[in-house]
Amino acid sequence: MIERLRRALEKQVDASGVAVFRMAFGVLVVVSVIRFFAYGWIDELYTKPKFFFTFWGMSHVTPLGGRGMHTVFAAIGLLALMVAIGAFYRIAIVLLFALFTYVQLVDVTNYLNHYYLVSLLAFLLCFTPANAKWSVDAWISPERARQQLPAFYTYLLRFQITVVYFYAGLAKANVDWLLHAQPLNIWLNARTNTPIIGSLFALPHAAYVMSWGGFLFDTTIPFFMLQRWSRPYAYAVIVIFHVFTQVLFPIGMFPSIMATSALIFFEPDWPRRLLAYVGIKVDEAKAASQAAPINRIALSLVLLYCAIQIGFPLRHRIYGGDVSWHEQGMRFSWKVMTREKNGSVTYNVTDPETGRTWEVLPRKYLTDRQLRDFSTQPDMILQLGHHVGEEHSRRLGRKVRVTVDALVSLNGRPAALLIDPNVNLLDIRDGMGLARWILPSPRNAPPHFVPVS
Amino acid sequence: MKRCSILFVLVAATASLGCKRATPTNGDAGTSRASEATREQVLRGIGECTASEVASFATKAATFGQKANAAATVPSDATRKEAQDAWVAAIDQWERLEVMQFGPAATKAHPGGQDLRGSIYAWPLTSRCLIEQQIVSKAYEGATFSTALSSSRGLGAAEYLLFYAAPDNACSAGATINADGMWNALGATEIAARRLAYAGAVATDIAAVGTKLNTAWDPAQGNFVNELVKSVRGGSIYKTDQTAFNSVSDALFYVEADVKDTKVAHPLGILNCTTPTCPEGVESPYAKRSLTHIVNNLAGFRKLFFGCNDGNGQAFDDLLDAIGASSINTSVKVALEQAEAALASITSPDLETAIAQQNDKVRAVHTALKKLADVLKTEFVTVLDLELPQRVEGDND
Repeated sequence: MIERLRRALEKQVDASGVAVFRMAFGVLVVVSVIRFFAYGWIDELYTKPKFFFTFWGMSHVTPLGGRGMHTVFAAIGLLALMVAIGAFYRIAIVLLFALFTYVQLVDVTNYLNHYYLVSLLAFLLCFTPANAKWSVDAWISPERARQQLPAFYTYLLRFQITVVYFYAGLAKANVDWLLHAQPLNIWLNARTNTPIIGSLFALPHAAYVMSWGGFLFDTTIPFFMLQRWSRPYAYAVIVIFHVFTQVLFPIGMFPSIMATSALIFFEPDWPRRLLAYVGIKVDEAKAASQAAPINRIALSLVLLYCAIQIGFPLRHRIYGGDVSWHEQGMRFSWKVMTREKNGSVTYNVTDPETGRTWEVLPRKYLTDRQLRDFSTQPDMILQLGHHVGEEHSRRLGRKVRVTVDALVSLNGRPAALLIDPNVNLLDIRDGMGLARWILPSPRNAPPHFVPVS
Repeated sequence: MKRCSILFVLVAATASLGCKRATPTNGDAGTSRASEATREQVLRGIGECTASEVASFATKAATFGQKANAAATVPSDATRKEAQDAWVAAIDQWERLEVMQFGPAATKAHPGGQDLRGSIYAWPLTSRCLIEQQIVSKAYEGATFSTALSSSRGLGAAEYLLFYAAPDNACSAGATINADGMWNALGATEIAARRLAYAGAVATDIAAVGTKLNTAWDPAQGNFVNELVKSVRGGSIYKTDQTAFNSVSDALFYVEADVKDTKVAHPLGILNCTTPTCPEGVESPYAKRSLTHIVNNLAGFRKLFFGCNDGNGQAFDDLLDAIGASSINTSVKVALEQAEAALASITSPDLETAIAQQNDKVRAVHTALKKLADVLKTEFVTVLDLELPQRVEGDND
């Protein structure tokens, strides 16, 4: 079994598929960086905020200031361009992975699943000789150019994309999504006047059809892409699906990244065949000399990576309850577009010596954009609570007590308390354990709303 | 293949079951339609309501302009009182419009924004010292006065100029007008006269901006109502009707940040106040109308949320009824009525006195306003899928 797996992984395949993946990946990151500059997001996300939420265990990651962050983004853009053209690829992709991951770690409110995916793909590309073909490196050093690569690299990238789609689908396998069509019912009701397709959203069962469609699409599409017979149709569905979501929702680069990444499912020689089809003849892939076999350590590390990718998104199962409510295990789990959630947070600071209590509003510390993400996520509420407590304790010269009034509405349900309002946040340390200070989710079903044009 | 067919049938059956189960009654909001309103009708209702309020303000602002200039021309207790009454009428109407800051009144960052609110009422950006420096320099007589800092113009400046009679000033001893003795050199009579003259200039400016605002909304002229209505079909300055709803809902949040927090919580001493209370932070320190201002803010909120004409006009409540979210209307109504009742129960003549003597009642106002804000920030924005205007890309995670 292991031997068969090893043989399959070591099988030599055309390198052009991976080469095009590298180019597309680089171009998409360049486009992302251009968008950050064009829309002023670098200042908005990294300079304007006065407070940054750190990931657990990553409190040492801080922004570099306005000029520093602009430089970092410029560097990311340049490195991505180098990756796209395959110039000094190895150095470029390693630095790109490091810098891109750094900017994602600066503030939790910036977390997006598709940026996490970009980091993971960059990580995988660090170990992939994606510059073997159609690259400046191969042009400069023809002796290092290769027409073929072990299939292992393609399989690993396919595995990563499969994980994203499948878990994004699995995240939708819940009562709200499948039985109550929420939050799609809410989202579609707000778009009933979208040109051409809007009237469809006003149909009574539109949200159900789309909820089930989305669930079935995500959970099955990678497997249809893995089958040769269904691949072209499946890819057409992928393109239509992502164009549709791009039109409807402000999800930025996500559709482009997914639609482009899915090209890795095609046969590794697809670019060569496509070029031949349009009349452009390129060098034939010659049989390569026997590649060095994958050693046991490398194989073990790959299997470990795969195990982490399969296991980590499921960690919310350990915590129990509704992950959309308590958010423990929400990030890095491909739970894309699974909930509509809004909150209202007010801290109450008490001076134990005088008994005086006053309010502290999160907007004093956060931008509007941060505020919206923060107000529904307990770990961030705790983190800012600590900051508020420390600030007021310093000012008064004695330790204050900080409680929070955090109300949240999930998928249209009446607002409920997210965090125990009697708990002193300063007594709580964030961690990976079960957070008992988070109150249970409301047990009632979400309402279903009537579409109005 | 057979297995696939069975799976498909199972999936389809479950989906169909889910539809049938979920649609009739669901959750607290329920799905029964209490209204047949369309999104276009609601936007039209909101627009027409705002337009009528703006027209009313323009009339009152024009009257204020006349009265304030009459007082400046012929200073007397009687003309001054008439100017004060006209100011009261204008500010009372404007406080209703404070909750309707979308379209031309909003800043230029918003769709259709002309930044007109800043010239009418820049609160909390009112600088008494700057006004007093201009009393000395007579900057209010200059041709460029209408473009001077908004903290020295508008209804906030007019309040000080018309209602503050003492001959002192709020500038530091080191400020030029004090250090050089220019303020003292004016004398009480001249200061009073200049204050009235300044009030006349301010009132003229307010009347002009009020007319400009009214022109923008007037169906026969700018017809901004049409921009809201057109957003449903396209061709509006609002890219979509959802953008238009977002813009209007942003305005509703005035009751949170400005009313609950700045007008109530801060003077009450529970927000941004290092002493037990901060009564110096009330909105209307000279005319002592802070409580009335809050009452009028809530009246404006009521019109925008429940509709003009005693709630008979189309507004957010009709949209919520139409989608089957009437419970949110009930929550908003209950919190609003609690806030109004708490305000009505305050017998003190002004907010400063109420904070000192009826603190629990002012706290009750704050509690009710917080309830109102919580409903808006959670259920209201959720069921209507309203977004913050600055929203950048996301994947909802």
